[in-house]
Amino acid sequence: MRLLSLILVVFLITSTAARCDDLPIKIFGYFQTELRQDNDSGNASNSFLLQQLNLFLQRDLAEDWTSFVNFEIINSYSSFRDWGSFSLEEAWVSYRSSEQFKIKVGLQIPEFNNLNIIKNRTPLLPYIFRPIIYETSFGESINLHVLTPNRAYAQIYGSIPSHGIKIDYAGYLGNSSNIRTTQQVRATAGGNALQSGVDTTNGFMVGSRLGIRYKGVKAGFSTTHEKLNTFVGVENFLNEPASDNTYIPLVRLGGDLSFNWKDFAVEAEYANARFTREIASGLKVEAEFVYATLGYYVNDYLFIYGSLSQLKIDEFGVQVDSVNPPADTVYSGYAVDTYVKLPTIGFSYTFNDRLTFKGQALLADLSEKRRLPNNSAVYFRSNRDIDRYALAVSVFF
Amino acid sequence: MAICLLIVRETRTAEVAIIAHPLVQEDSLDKKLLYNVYRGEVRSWDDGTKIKVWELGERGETRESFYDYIGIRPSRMKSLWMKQLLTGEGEPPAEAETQEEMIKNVMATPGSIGYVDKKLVGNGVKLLLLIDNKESKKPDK
Repeated sequence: MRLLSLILVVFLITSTAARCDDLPIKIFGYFQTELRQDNDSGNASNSFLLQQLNLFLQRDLAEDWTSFVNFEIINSYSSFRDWGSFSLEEAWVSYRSSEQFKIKVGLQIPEFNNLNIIKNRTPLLPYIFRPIIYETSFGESINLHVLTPNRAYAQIYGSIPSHGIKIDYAGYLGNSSNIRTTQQVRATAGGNALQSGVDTTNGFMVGSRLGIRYKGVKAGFSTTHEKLNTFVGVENFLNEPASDNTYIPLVRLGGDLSFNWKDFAVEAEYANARFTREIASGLKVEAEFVYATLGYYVNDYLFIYGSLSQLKIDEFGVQVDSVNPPADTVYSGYAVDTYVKLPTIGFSYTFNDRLTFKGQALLADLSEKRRLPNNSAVYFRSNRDIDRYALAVSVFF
Repeated sequence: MAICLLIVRETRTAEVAIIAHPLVQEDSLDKKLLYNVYRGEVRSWDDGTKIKVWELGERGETRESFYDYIGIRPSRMKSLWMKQLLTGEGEPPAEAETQEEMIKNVMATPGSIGYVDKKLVGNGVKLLLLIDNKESKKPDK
């Protein structure tokens, strides 16, 4: 399959390179900057933040052939100051045979539910803080890549009209979520480290979305399957005998529904990511997410909304029990159940095609329970209430 | 509060002509096709000529009547175009500032389609559809 992908890419490049010299490259993007006030369990703070900036390069390579590159900058990025992140989010080439059949090859965000593909397009969304699994700026504290597929490398998709209904489909291949980092490469002993950015498993992530559109109603069902080797060696932290955790299947399921009725807009999604077997005795890893938004177009410029999202994650944590210098550190593993509930209200005001003002209030309720994997008794419990109020401006340039 | 948010929409009165470049082979088109052309989901005429869509920049009755007819608010259509642009799926239509400019551009660009007030249509463009104001209806977005 890798060979097939390589042949396809070479074909795409050679068949279009000779014809693209006269087609212009387009450069555009957007950023969203905000002023926020946080109240974290009684501790208040204020801050400005450049939440996100995306820069796109797009060039038509020939009729029906397009290339597209997307750079993303998060949280006032500065490498010198160690703030935020800078990443290449997309770099792909696509061929559009018709609306019914399109193919995309290269680094891309795959179709999954309604919001996945546009989650980072802030000019398209009324939110400052998106439903939690799509809020990229939370990525430093939540494993967002587990809940939704963030990367694919080959995708066929399209929309087939039938009896007044449009049937949307997409099927894609990508890497498993466990990607080797530069740090891991450098830490590999013996000088035989491979390159970073590559899948550490021997299989692909396979995914699909099937949806319908009828007038203002859009609905779909999404699923992915991959195998992860994230939990190799987990038994060392649990004082359990060695087991076969080399590859544990991860299945994601998603459903989405959105529609407009008169001046109201409704959108809702469900996502579930589950490892299909226990990673150790009594230790299941699973995440479940749901959100619903009800919005109202006051006029062509002003949109107001209320939204509720909930996230429940049952996962595995490691804590340091003791450190005995110089090199003896004792760890222990635990099961941790996290629950996040985020009711929010907000507005967006479209000043013109390039400028949108937004406001949002969010009242987050976070709770965490820890227990030993083979024991249901909770030994640690915490609750946090975080209120956040923000004003933002989203600029398309 | 709910009463304050109610918006009363008027039925538009302008008669709108859907016009095309004279060499476009189609002689007519229906509402569904018109919507799909402007939505960017149909990009070629039946003979394979690429469709060049023109959007009217100036606000007014002609623009409002056109969008009433195809059943979507202009602002909603703009956000669909923005989505296409930002996901690499296509570009928004080219914009003509005035109806006179729209006619000039449609005449000059093969494969073009646009819309203007019926009263302004002359010999240099092909008339594909006349939107009767009685057909105008409230947009369902």
